[in-house]
Amino acid sequence: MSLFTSALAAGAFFFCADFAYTLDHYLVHHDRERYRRTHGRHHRRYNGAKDAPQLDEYELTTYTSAAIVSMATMSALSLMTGNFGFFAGALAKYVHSLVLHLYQHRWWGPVPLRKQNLGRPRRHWGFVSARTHAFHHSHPDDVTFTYAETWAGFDRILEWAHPHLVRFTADARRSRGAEAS
Amino acid sequence: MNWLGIRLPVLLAVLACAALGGGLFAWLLTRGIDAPYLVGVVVGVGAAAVSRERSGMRGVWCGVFSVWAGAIAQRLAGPYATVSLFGFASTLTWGRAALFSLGAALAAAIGSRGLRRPR
Ligand SMILES: [Zn+2]
Ligand SMILES: [Zn+2]
Repeated sequence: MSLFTSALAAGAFFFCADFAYTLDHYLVHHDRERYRRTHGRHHRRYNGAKDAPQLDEYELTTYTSAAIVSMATMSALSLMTGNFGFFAGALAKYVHSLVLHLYQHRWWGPVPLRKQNLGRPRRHWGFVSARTHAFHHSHPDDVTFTYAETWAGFDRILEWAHPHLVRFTADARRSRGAEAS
Repeated sequence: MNWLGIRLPVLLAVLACAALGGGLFAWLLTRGIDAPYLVGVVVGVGAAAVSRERSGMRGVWCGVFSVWAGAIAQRLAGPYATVSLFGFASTLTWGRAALFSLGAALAAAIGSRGLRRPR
């Protein structure tokens, strides 16, 4: 197995997983119920002054269980293809998620995020910075999408697709149901 | 619920069925019958039999464990026993790869269901 095909497999998994993460992140922000039950606490947490450990148990559990499942499925795929890059990609995705989140904690201190005036990130197609992610925590529903974890291009694509996609979100379905009844 | 997303007793049942299915597959291999998809069926049925509610996550685990159990089983007995786990992929012709994939798909489809009567 050449290094090239391993890297290709790792990159392919990383790219797909990053897209899945971004899309799900977009969807949870358009599902009031699920947001309140799950992801919302992640946002609330960083908006006050720092009063808790870096990664709390809930966050570690969500990241780790997602990572364990993807590592397990990729281990089976690696076994069957003989290309262990798939597994390496799953491992890399987990490490990247943790590092990005730990790094954005630089902006989590005595001064609440909102008061730090981080400034809206510009719309670009490069890599997502920890600063952008910190901005996302204080401005969850900004017009510039900041849902992506690695490639900001997914945010640009979602911004373009949003007018069509929004009709399929849980919030849209709920408001249609409320209108009908 | 733990980090795996399935309850421990269910996980143990899945592992036991993976061992059972793997054993059956290896035994058939020594008799010249190559039926890797049986591992998936045994794992899926076992998982569904001990579960009450549907769970996609459980289905995923069933698929993963059926592939690993099949690979380990053919390492232990039959014509492929000389090939190490790292070389497992080299024992897969297109046909065998399809049968293993079918097994994983069956394990996931059956294993995600809950056949036990609700309380
Ligand atoms: Zn975050
Ligand atoms: Zn968010």
